[in-house]
Amino acid sequence: MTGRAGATAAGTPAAGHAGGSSAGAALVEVDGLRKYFPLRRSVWGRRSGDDYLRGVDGVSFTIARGSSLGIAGESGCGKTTLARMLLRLLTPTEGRIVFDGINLNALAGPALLAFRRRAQMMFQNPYEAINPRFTIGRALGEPLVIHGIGTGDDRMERVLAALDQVHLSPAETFVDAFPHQLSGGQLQRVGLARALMVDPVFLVADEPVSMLDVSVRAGVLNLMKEIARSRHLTTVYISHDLALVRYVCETAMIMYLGTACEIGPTTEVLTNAKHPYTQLLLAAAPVPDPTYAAPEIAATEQVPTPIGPAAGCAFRDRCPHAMPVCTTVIPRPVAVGPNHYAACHLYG
Amino acid sequence: MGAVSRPRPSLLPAGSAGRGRPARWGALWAVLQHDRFAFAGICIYACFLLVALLAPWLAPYDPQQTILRGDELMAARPPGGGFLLGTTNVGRDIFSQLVFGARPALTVGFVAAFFVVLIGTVAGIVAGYSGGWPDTVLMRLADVAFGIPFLPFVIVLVAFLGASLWNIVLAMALLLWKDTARVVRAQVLTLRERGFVESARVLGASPARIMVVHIAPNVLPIALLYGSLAIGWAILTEAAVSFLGFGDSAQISWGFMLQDAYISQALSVGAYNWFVPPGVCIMLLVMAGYFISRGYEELLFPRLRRQ
Amino acid sequence: MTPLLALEDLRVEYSTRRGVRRAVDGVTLDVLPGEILGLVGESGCGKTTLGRAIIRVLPRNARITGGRMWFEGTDLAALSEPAMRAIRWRKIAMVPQASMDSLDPVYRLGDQFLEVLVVSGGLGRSAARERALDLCDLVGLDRRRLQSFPHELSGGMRQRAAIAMALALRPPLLLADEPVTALDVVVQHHILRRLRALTAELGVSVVLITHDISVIAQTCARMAVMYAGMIVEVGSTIDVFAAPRHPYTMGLENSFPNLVRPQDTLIPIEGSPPDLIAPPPGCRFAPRCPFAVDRCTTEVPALRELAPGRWAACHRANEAAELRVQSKDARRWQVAAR
Repeated sequence: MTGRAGATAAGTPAAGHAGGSSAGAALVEVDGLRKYFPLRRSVWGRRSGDDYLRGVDGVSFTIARGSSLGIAGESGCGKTTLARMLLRLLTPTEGRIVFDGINLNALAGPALLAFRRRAQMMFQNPYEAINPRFTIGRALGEPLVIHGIGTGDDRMERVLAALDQVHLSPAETFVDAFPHQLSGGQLQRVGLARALMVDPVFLVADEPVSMLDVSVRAGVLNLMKEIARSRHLTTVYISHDLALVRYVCETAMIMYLGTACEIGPTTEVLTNAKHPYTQLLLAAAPVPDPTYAAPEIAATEQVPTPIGPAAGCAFRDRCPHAMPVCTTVIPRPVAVGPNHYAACHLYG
Repeated sequence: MGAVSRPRPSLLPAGSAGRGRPARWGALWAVLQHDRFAFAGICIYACFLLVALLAPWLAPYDPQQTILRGDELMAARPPGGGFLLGTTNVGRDIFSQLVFGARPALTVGFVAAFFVVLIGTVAGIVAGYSGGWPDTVLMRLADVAFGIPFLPFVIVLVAFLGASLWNIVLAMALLLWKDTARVVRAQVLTLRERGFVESARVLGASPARIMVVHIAPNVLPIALLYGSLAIGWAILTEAAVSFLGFGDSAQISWGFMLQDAYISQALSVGAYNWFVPPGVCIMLLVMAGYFISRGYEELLFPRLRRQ
Repeated sequence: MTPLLALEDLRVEYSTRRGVRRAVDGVTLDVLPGEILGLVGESGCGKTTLGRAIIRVLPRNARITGGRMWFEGTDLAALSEPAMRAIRWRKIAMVPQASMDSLDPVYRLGDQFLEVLVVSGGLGRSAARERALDLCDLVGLDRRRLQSFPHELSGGMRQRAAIAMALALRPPLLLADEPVTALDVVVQHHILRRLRALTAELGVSVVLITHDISVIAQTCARMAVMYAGMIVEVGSTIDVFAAPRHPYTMGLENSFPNLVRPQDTLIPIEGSPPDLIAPPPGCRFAPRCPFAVDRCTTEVPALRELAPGRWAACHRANEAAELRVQSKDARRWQVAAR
């Protein structure tokens, strides 16, 4: 597994520097991350030619402590794969992730367990994420058992406190309930509470509200915002919904076919989008306002499958501004505004 | 902690309430009542269990004892005159043999089934969850087990290790685990992808913990299903092995009775009272096991239930 | 304008182990010719049941227990099954939820089209083939895709195919249940555009059932809001968005993030929809409503026409302007479910 030769910080977009300073304290640094999925296992175990699917294809960014990053894109863009690599559920094919100075690739055994105390996840489907045979109390107690936190009564105290914190009151009512007895919104709050049991500093939320009813989403999002603020959490939201990213995240990163197209402060990226793909997403996004006239979209809906080695820009087939260079050279991120980067040949 | 009151009603779509709720005894009882066959099966098992436990009190004679009345050997007596099912050709009471025969049958049945479930489940879980070489090794072992013909293997093993009940159990455990393992492994492969397994990994659970806490309880039902089928198999096997003469001659089992009857040419003399009862008992027990497993299967897979 | 479909106090019940669930409880709604009517509601509100009731493909434990469905002079609710079969697909067609997954995986698309056209439509094979090609053009599907198997097509293409199959016999009424929910945003945009064009070209009426108000905003001229088995508001989309008359609609709009005009705070609606096996007396929304008064907990508000074409089921509908202002205050919505 070769690291990307000459990987440098120069030109690496730095995400989420809330104070505007470019040398902010980064909690997570992602460098040249790639994840390829073999399609046909060759006898010798070596990938060659067209045998692999490019899930994540060269992504680099940093996440500042205490900031919230939204990773947005359509299905197949690699955002879920990236999220799982951030939490060491998948190992990268190339590149590295440095969490608070520690290279995630090197983690094993007790060090990995310690990492799991500091970085947690919220899942998309609340009914799937919790063992349906567990009571809520047991599900919340499990992280404490795994990490050896507290004992007996103390654990119950913590469980009750966690339920209170996510506004599931009275907490005693929920402790003995089973997941199927709760609504989606309530269960997602339980999922959040469970992630917080070990008092992490980093939280990745994978489409946390997409399976919930619309009127319930706001409640869960507001809660997450409030908790992230009060605990100084560094958060990453994976979402296909740009409106959600705008509501919750300070920084936004748009992904397409495994590459990061654009990254920067959310308002900048969403109101002053530079990358043609971001512009496409914005034009296509439905708006709950019948008087809003959606712009015309030239791009086709056909999304190519990223198989085999990358050549040029991932978006070249659908881009209205495609140039000859787009077919041959992979665009590197270029500064297009304050802390705002776009990987497009239009800008450099 | 206050009394638990039901939380607010959920937004669940119709019909999904109950999914994942651990099988309650109430539900089990309801199905058993509903399925008369399963209920009959349980009753049959209960009866035989009682018979086996109370054998010394139920059987009028020692099953091995040749009975003399005065100077006369009570050989080949038909039913009646103190002998409920008559006697064998050397004067042993058939009924007593039948009653005591329940013991080896049930012992072998339950013990073998227990080991089959144990080994099969553990193998299935480890193979399914770990993947890689543990999976390959275990499944190749299972393949070997599939390839070996059952009865000949049991006979050979018994011939080498000596004819005892426990060797028969051992032979069965060594070969019968494969079915359970296969099925359990298949279920584990699906379970492995479920959200709560992934979330357990994120929380930091070790693979061992995940296998024991999250995976095992979810595969146990199907493992037990195979276990209940294995009981029937085990009883049949013991009977077959004993019938062929490789059984434990110190114990009177139904298979032994059949063999005894066979070599004494009971069929040609028309001594139906000798070989029919043990055959019927074997049949009843195996059938009961099948009925129970069928009813249990409906519990596990409610769609099979008639609406 | 005489409505194409007129629902009158329609009631549908499910028999469940826990009791009878009143999934659709007195729905009165008109569908006009050549319009796209949006029907919006959250999970469990009964919108899918309503759609299936109209085309009479309810599950075995559901029954229409009251009301009428007037369509071209006949009451669909009272029709026998053979008579309904004659209407189904020829006059009323449905694109069910996740229909892109309901295409038969072992037959090519073209064969599936032909089956509908020949068997249900009674067309000859060559006429059917012509029509199949037309249908592709109609929904924006590449004609060559007729040779493909469903798994070879993307989600968007499969959804277009499902729409095409529904329109195969040129029904005047199309029911589309969450037609774009599982699709990416760009595909969604194209398909909704296409749906609008279809209505204009063919004069098909579409009932678009969805939980996503932005889809309705983009596609439907008229909309109805459904909650707990009842219609709570009907009107032109522009008016319902600009001036909602029912607190639930106000709550929905408060909680929906807007990309173009982002809100500072989204206000959720606390609590959960009522259990339809034992619904509360009075207004179903009252337990969660910030404006409920005593009358709301005892008397079910009727769906009243407050202005031409503008309906709302709320006792305080004439105070709507004032309530709208108050609904912007987040504290008012922090009402625990009573």
